[in-house]
Amino acid sequence: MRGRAAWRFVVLALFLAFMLVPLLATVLFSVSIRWDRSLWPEGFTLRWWQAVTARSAFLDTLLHSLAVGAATVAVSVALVTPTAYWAHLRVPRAKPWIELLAIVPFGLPGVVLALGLIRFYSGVPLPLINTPAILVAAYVVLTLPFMYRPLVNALEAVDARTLTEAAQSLGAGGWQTLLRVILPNILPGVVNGSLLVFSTVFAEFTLANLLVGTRFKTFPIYLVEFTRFDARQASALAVISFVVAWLASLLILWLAGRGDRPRETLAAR
Amino acid sequence: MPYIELKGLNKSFAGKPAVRDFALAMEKGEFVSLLGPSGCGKSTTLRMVAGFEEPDSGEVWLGDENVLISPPHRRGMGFVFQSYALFPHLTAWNNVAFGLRIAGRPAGEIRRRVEEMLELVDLREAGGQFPRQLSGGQQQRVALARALAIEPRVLLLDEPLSALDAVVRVTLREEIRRIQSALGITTLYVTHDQEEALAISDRVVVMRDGWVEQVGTPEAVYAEPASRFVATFIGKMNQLPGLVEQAQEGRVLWGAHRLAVPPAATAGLAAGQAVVVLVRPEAITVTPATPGGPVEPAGENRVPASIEILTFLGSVTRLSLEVGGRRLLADVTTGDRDRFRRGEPVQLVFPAAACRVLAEQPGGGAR
Amino acid sequence: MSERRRRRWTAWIVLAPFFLFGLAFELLPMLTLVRSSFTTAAGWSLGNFSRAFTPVMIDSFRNSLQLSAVTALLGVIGGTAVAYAIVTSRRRVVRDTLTALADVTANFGGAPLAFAFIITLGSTGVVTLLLKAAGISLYPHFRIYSVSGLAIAYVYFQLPLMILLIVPALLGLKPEWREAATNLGATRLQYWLRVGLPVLAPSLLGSFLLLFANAFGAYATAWTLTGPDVNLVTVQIAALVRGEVQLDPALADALALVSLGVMGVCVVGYRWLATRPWRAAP
Repeated sequence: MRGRAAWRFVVLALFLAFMLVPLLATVLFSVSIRWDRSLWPEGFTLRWWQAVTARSAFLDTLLHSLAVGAATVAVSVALVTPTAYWAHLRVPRAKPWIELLAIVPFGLPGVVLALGLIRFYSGVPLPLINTPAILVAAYVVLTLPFMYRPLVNALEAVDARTLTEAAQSLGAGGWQTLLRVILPNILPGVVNGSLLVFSTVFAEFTLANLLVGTRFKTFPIYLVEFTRFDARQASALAVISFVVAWLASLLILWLAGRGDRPRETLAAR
Repeated sequence: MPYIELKGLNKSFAGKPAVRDFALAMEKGEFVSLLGPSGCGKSTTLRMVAGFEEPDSGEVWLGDENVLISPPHRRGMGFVFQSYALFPHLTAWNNVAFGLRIAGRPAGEIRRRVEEMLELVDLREAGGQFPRQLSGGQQQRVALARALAIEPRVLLLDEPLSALDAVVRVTLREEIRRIQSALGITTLYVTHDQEEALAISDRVVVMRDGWVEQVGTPEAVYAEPASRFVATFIGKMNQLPGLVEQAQEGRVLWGAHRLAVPPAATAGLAAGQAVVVLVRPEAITVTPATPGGPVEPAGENRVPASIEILTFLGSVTRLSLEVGGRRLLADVTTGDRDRFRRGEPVQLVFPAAACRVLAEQPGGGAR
Repeated sequence: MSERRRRRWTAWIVLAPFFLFGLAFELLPMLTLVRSSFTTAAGWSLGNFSRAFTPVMIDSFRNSLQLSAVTALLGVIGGTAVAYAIVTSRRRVVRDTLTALADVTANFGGAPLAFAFIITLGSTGVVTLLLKAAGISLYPHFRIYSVSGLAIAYVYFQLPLMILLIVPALLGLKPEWREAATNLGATRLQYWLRVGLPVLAPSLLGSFLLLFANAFGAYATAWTLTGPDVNLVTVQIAALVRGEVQLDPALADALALVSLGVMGVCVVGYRWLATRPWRAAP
């Protein structure tokens, strides 16, 4: 027993160290004057933070990322919610097809999606390439699984069918039922999905770089530029990335703790 | 012209028929129950009227309006679900107001009507509560108020009391009937509980396997069951299989006993035909055994029996009796119970008028 | 019953936007890749694929496959060990906190993570200095800007992902099985060999495939950490997209298609394993 407990302690301590040290190191690095010779930083300063946030590009890229994230969430919710509800209720035969479309992105690396989109839309007379629009569209595709699963789980959990029949018996048509009855009750699922989508999009680099890289820079692109340019300012940006990701994840966890929502996370690189 | 008419409704699920050739005409203000065991098609019939299922064939007419061409949200029929189906994100007040809001009624009218409805179901103070804060009985009353708020032309209830415990069920069914009478609203009520159906309905439709077995007042269905199924489904019924001895005089041979039944019941049957005589346990009087041979004055049956089991049922004690290898049930008031003991020989007396006769169909099973 | 049929068609109309979107941004781009990868100047052929298998490209595949396999394996082993330690912890606080940590860090990766590792294990990184103080000299034998460094960074997000995947399966090991086995005379080792691992096998295998696919498709981490120095399939494709190395669209498509094939096998395999009879896969 004692041996087992000790072993467990060692394993978990190593895990914690491995996970936390890089994060803490980054935070410390971003506020240290110098930290390349000694075990502890030589002096602290906010200079790097001030420098990197003072640039106009900082605010621009941050706003770009927030805007793209918000747009992706909006499109995703508007697209997936009526679809999942209608298929769940009226056209169950469509469900396998929808689930197929929602699972394909798991097997789609960012570079391949970028390649396919560029290849297809170069030959199409639509001014999509090199605009944020195609980035949002690509992000919606990429995060489809993260929005679809929580939504479907929520629909099943609230017995959408009976609620719909009750609303119909009271005179509510399809859209009225969806907006006034179903949506308020699956809101936790929608919020869960939205947080997952937003945090994925905010941290996404590959598609942003390849699809619109030079014209429309997002926060991760800004960060990568700094890694080549000035490590200390880059570390400040990295801390911001971590904080956003942590906040989103903690929000999801907190919401999940409030109701019994199934947890859904998957790494998207 | 009847207020509602259902004609020739048929519905199958994956090849299995659920409702077969269902027909019913209802007058305005009538309370009709669809009664039957699980799977008999009663809920499916109700859902077809509401528009939640589409019939394979048949018609539903409300006056001169063909109901089936309207989608469910435009039929003006209130529906009360077994699971209440209250919207969890709205208070009781807002649940009741829902249909009125959808219809775009002015705020003053909505307020008035909701208060009126909550008052009607005796829940005025509970308006601000959410469904999860209410008991089952309260939730069902809110559901009723919600369905009635929109002034539906027809009220449909799908086993509304099945999820509630016994005491609540009895009080609530009385309330439902009281409210329905007061409002004069035509009501179709689905239940598997025969006591419930008999207690509150104007008419009962007994269903089995998708077929209508019998339609009639509760008294008629109880006292004059049209088939063996109805006879046994409603209340307890003694079934005595026998052969017609004399059709014109109403004599049936049951084992070694000659039973007197109403002559009208056996009129038209052939001598020797297989029949089943039906007698309710409460129609049988249990008396101490009288010495001397069985006397059969016209119109009365006397059968010697011995008591096997006494079952205490509250106000009534049911005796299980043995007659020459066959079983009979008779009820006595519990106050009289002490007169009887196990193994004691008694005499059963029941008038011919209390017997019904059903002819056995060829191939078994009397319809 | 034309009324019913008409309503069925209108129901499909509501689904149309979703399917059109999927068509426009998911399927058609993929089909374009398929078509163009099989198209050469000579029409339909496999010519692009043979050009895809130049030494450089083969090298990139080897690297990607190796990197993915190694980090997936490390992730499976390490993740299972940590997950087991978590589920067998007696204190709820420990279990909840560590599971939450795994939840949060499973989504990390990409540029910020790569950068964090540069700070930690770079030539003047914290841990490097720590080890030097302890007498262990990482550099110059080890560089964070290498495949090994990349592997360490990959393991950082493979571990928590594995934990999340395998905890449900571990929890699905009923204690009654262990008790029954003991009652029938099995030792701990025998229980694990004959009961525990076989039951967990579909989950372990399925998780391996998912981790493999996860690593294979990763780009941002590699690009930030090692840039064009480490030869990986995703890096090659990205370079071709940017038109950097050679302007050869068909080659990129062929590479992309092979990648899709690899990913497809992994995802399908994972899904198949998830529906195994004894429902041990998450």
